[in-house]
Amino acid sequence: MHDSLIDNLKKEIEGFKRTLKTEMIGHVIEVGDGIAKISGISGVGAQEMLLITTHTGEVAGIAFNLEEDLVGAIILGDSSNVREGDVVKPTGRVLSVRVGESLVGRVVDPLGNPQDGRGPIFEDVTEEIFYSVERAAPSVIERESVRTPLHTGIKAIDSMVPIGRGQRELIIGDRQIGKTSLAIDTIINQKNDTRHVTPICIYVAIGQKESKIAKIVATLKEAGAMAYTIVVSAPASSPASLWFLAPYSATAIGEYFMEQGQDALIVYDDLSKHAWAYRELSLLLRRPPGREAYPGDIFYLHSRLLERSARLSKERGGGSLTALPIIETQLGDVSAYIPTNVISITDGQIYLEPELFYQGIRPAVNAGLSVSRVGSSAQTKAMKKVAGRLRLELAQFRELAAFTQFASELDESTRKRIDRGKVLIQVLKQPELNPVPFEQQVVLFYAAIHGYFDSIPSEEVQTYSNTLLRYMESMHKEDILGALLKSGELSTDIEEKMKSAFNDFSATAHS
Amino acid sequence: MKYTVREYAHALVELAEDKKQSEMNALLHGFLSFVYRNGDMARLGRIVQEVSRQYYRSRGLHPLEIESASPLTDAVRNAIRSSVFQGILIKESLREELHGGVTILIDHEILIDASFEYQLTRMFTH
Repeated sequence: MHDSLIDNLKKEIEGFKRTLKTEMIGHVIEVGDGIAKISGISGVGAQEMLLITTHTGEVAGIAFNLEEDLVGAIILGDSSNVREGDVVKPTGRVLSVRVGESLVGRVVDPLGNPQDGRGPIFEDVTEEIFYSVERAAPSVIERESVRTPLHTGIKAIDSMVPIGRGQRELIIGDRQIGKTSLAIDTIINQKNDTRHVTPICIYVAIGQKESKIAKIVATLKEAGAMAYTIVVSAPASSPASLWFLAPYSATAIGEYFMEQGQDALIVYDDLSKHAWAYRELSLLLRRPPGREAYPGDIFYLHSRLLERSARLSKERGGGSLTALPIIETQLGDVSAYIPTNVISITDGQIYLEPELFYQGIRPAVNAGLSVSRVGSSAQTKAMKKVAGRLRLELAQFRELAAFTQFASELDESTRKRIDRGKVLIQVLKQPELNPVPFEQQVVLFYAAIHGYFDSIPSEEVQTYSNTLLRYMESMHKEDILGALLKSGELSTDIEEKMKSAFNDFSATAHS
Repeated sequence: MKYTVREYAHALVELAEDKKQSEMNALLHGFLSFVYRNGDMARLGRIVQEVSRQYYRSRGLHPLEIESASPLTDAVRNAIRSSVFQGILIKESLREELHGGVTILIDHEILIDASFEYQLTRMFTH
């Protein structure tokens, strides 16, 4: 080994050709708050990656502002070591992140560095694949319409606001209302959906508390979801430049899987903080502030991000990237600047209402204001059959909700509608971290809309539903649940079996 | 009114264009007073840098800064100066980490690295 080392060294020295290196450099003339002003590097391009040589090592940056004499750059990392006079070198390329299967199950920062203390992510140095964090979205020709369902496991969503693979569905609501819970339940439920290949899930934490991110990772691990999940973390303690970068890096990672023909799901938690970070950087770079001090291109910030989520055509591999962006509103104001921007970009929204939350209706999904523009194209036939009537009965209940206090003075049919609505509200309630597979949802909704719960007091409906599901799991796992799961359709045969099962269960429950 | 560093530098370079050495002191004194009155003394360093840049550019000169591992001989100095058209040597410094050779910075922007440190780095990294 000693000899081969010397031989290799000799070969290197003999084959060595002396060359000079010529490069453009600049110098930092001003630095502070994560921003550096650089003189020189007159040929640098917009969004080009820069390397700043500090006394402790190299720090990356991105050229953001190309002014007449200066370049304004954001520093990706700790700017406290950058000093005036430090040498800056352009790299000639835009920022990119290394992608690959090895990222699955890991927690990384927006630059692709591991954050989970499990050592390097990529062992193989020979095959390196880098994706630029800023990439063009797929064109119209490269896309296909969304048809495959993405089951969230949340009854209120899968029935009335169905999401498809390749769709962008916004989750919007006030603080502490259950937005992140919805997203986490969706990720956990992906392993339950055995009709389709489990998508790779990416959770992007933007400006979240580190304790919350740690809790989410622990929850996903406990549920076995980390086996197919990647967490991209830009916590509250990281600089605004990393908050800004996190969704783009994560989308580049998701695009890798999409272009391999796989399905991927990405959750941006949350884009409100992303907008704040971009506003902070823009103000520090002296870009002209617009409405609410946001820069003029705040819409483009989110539109170019969300347009990268798509369902690709078969010619492009047939993969998909489904996006669940989260926006936090203030006091339920969905007509504010950033919420309206993102609502107009996405293919629908799930609106979580504080009033419903405090009434104990959780998840607090307002079915009236929530919409999925993909709609029933992304639902299985079985779910479509039951969901239509569910939505109708709930809509009728909402119209009559104001009269519930006068229930005793109403006619029979109105009273029945109100009672049915109350039952359905109870059926749709669901605890956190308890996703329900779609075949069980179909069974529950079928029972509810066909009156099998009408005789149950509303406060007992949830217990009754859980017991019914346990009964179906133990007695009809193959002939009803298994058949629904396999075919995705509610055939006449399965319907008859279900009715018989409900009658048997009802008789057992009442005896 | 707020003036940019560029505007200060341009004004000084233009004013100094045809001034004799004896008039320069008065000019510089007046200029510094002007900067002081405007509350821009904190930017004086950048103004001086910009003056230097504009001065050399207006005369078609290219300032050179050379780093070497050991003191330059006259022969090396002249060779470097003559290899850059209209090059004018403004700064020489020593940096032992180069181990040999030189680095030449032209116009504060273009770096030519002919140091032994670079050759070693190239040899052992691909």
